[in-house]
Amino acid sequence: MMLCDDCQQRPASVQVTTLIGQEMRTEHLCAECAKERGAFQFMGNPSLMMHNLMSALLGLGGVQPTVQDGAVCSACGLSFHQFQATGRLGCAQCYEQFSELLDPVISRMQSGAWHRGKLPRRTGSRIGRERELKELREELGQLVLKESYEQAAVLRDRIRSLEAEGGQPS
Amino acid sequence: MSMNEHATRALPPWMEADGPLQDVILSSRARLARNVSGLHFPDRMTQADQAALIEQVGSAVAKMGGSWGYFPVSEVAPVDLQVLMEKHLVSPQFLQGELQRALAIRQDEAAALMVNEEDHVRIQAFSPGLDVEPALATALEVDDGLENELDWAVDSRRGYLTACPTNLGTGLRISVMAHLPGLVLSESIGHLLQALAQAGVAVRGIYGEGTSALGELFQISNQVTLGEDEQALAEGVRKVAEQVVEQERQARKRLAAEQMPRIQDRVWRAKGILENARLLSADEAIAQISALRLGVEMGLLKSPSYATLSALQVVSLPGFLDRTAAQDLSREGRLQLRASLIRERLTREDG
Ligand SMILES: [Zn+2]
Ligand SMILES: [Zn+2]
Repeated sequence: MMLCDDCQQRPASVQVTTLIGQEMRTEHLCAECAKERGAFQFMGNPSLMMHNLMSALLGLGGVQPTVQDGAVCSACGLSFHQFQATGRLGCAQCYEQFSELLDPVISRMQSGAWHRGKLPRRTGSRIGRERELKELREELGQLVLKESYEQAAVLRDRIRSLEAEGGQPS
Repeated sequence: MSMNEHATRALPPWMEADGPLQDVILSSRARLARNVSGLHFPDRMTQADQAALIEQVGSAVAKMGGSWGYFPVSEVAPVDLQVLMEKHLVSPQFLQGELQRALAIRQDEAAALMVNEEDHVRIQAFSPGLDVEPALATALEVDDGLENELDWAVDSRRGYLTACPTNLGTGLRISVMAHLPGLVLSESIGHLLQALAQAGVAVRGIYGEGTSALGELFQISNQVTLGEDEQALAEGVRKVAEQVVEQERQARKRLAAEQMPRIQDRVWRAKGILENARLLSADEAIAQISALRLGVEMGLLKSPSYATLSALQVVSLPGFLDRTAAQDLSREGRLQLRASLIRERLTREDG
């Protein structure tokens, strides 16, 4: 029996397919969760709607609350609990510090986990760029091992553009 | 333009011209969320950092091209802020809470930005009708200008880092305001809203929620901000909006074929009320302006212009009325002033 993607409790009886750009996302939901999803998709402002989706994913999706229950961002002092309550992070570092908890949620509610689009022409210091390149190359290696070629291609483009920027004075 | 002009002028200059598909789509908007690297997000910023950021963004705006006014919120009268919100130049959220804030408005009001809303900087740009690409281009241009002076928090995997992960990546929200009386009157709006949710866009009523939105005005916007680039997101919203326009036009055609007397009565009754009423509530004004707009959109009426219709919407709202009267009006006072401002706008156009 297939369980509902949202509540992971009741059996899934509805297949919901969402078209985001060219990408189809199919989810299996129970009747109640499908109804709830429908209800909040029709009202509220878009960010509130995404908030609802996010809280649903945080509370019920693959997150293991016991493991990192007391997680706190060392840069700004925000606890993961506080984030769950408000839906807002405290600083840019939070994304790294809570990455284990956040990344799966982000890739489910967004159209993947990889940014495609504008970046500032001036991406911080050379040191920052080099550190970033190092991390990206490691991630690229892992993606290739996992045969996630589509994501790897996006990452390779990003690495190339960072490398190209490296040649110019910042 | 001074704050005084922004707060007393009902019609933003950029709305004076009609845009593409103006008979269904009133306006298009692009919003970018940005944060400055090395500072906590607004919710967790110290007072000193809030003040420093206001200075920093102010000097970045001053170095940008174009004619901008920069206003720390502490120097803006609350009623003026209310008007700016009614004109969608700032968000409702911007008027709440304890943070020190600032805003910038370009002379033509087609671009604006907020400092210390949910993110450090929120850039907005507008264009009339269904024209998302120019609005996006303007917003990105403002971003380019600020980027010369400010270091945005960004990482190459996640893109622009935002206080809420729902804005992560591009930080871009594209939205269009659609007038859908045909679909509401023919009771097919519920079906359409359902289909739109499946297409990955968010829909909300501008005044009121869901299918019973007052004034039959709906905002359609992208849900996802990460994983596609800005142009793809804008194109996605535009394509959905084009389909909505098609559906709405068909609904109006059906209504014209099957229920013309009912439509004519609705339109002419609205004209009669708006041109003659001496007391008007906000709800009634918004509903009647919508019916009048439908008359223009369906070619039953030659006037007023779309620009005047948009101005009527702003003059109906409480902040604008209080600002015009230069006092906090009583309920009765508002009903009266609203009716008289609307009459005046409509007769001005006739003559
Ligand atoms: Zn369920
Ligand atoms: Zn943090």
